Amino acid sequence: MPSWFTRTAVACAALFIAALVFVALAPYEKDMGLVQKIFYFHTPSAWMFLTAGVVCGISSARYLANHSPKLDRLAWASAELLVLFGAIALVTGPLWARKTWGVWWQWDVRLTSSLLGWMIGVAYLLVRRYAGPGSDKLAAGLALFGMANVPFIYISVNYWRTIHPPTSVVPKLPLSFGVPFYLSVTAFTLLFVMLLRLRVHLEEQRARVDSLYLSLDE
Amino acid sequence: MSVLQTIWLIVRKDLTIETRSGEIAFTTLFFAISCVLAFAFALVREGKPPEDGGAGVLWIAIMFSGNLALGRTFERERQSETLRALLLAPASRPAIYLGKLLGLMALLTAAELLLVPLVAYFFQAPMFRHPFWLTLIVVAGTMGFASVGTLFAAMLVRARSRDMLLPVLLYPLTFPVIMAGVRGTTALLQPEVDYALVRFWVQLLISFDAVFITLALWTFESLMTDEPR
Amino acid sequence: MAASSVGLSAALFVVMSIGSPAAGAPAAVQVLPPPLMLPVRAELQSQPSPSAQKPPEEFEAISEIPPDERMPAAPMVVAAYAFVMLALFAYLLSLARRLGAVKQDISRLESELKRNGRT
Repeated sequence: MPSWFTRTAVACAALFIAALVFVALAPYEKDMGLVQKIFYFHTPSAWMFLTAGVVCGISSARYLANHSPKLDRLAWASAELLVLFGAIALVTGPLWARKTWGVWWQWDVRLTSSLLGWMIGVAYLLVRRYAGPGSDKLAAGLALFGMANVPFIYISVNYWRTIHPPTSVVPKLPLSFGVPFYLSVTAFTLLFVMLLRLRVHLEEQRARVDSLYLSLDE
Repeated sequence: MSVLQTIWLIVRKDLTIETRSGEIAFTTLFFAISCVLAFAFALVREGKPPEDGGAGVLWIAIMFSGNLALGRTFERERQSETLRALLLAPASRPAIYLGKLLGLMALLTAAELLLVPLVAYFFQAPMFRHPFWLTLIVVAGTMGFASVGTLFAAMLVRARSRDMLLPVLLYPLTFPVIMAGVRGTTALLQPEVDYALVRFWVQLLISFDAVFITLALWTFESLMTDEPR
Repeated sequence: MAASSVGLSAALFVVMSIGSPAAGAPAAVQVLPPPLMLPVRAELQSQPSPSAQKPPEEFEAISEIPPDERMPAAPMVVAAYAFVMLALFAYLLSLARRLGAVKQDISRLESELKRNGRT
């Protein structure tokens, strides 16, 4: 693990513990009760999922334009994080929904397009792993098309009637909910950045292995 | 050579090969028929199809047939190394893409001419009540599917595991198109048609088409500049 | 390039004109029977599904949970938080393992390179 890891990991863990404490102390929501507390981890995960999608899409687009390996590594790293945080959001969401809506899943626009965005991320990782030479360009093209999905996921809820809460919920959060929520968001953001840097670092080390093999052959 | 001329040459080339050998045309058409039959055997109980099932079956069959046709079209290019020849020729990349796209659209449209009556019969779906709207939905949806498919099939020509990866790439990306197609077709098949709803899904399909084709035109150049293997 | 930009603007125009909730669009959600609505189990039928049709516009705070809300939510909350922790931990572990393997490769290759350099 690189040198900066321990400090950042400790800071991250501290933030998460603080967030959990505040989540436990937060009041219960009038209509949803205890199960609403899933919100404090579900929504930041979903935000990280969407952020990873944007990062992957933009770095893929730029990679197609100038072929810099740094951008390729960033794209791959953010795709992995997209799958990770997307999985978290897609599991915690139904656990919340089972209690609030009475069903595990509904084929409405937000849930369906989120699931799709996640599957595109999985497809990206499959392509990187199995497509052989040229898989970097292929995956970049896939990410570009996949990114067109992301705005739909976020705004869809405001334009199609759906049982998923609209985006107006977050700006209107009362303080007693806002504090644990934004603490959670900060924790997740730091975690996201840390994992992204770590994953890019892994790719850089792999590239070093490749160049070492090449110089061995000389 | 102008873009339109290039496009026309490529379309003519593909159609000529098809009319002479019929390789992809016959196999795709036969596959489309067996697909619908398989759905019919699986879903139709004692002559009663599932309610509103026709739209879904139609679009799934289009998706599967399209996947097959795409794979075969570019496999043929790969085997004869004609893709490298195409790329070396003084033809603009977007024109090559559009030419392949139109060729594929022609093939899929032929398959749909067969699919729609079959689905209408087996699933008792009143497909021919509103032919104009149905044609619009089917063409717009097929165009959306084909635009993404042509791009990725062309890119996958040089990749490993290309047969497996084409559906892996294609289905998640084109799912919104298929979904809009299914919803639009279902709305059209209702006894009381809500034209505002149908118009909505058609508008959505057309905007998907425009976005996908534009994106494909932008990226085709950079995605195809790899060394042919 | 210009032609495709025109195409993109046309697309955006079409999308904008779809924009605000089309009267028919919400009905589309209910047109097909939702295939994954699993039946609610008998014991959880004790409270009605609260405000299931209209999503809450804001969260409102209360200080104590009403009595009929208490038990069934706890397993969900615990499962959710446990999953989050497990997933993050598993990913970190996977990263650490992969990094370890790569670091091993690097040190092996570097020592081989040094040896070859000497001969």
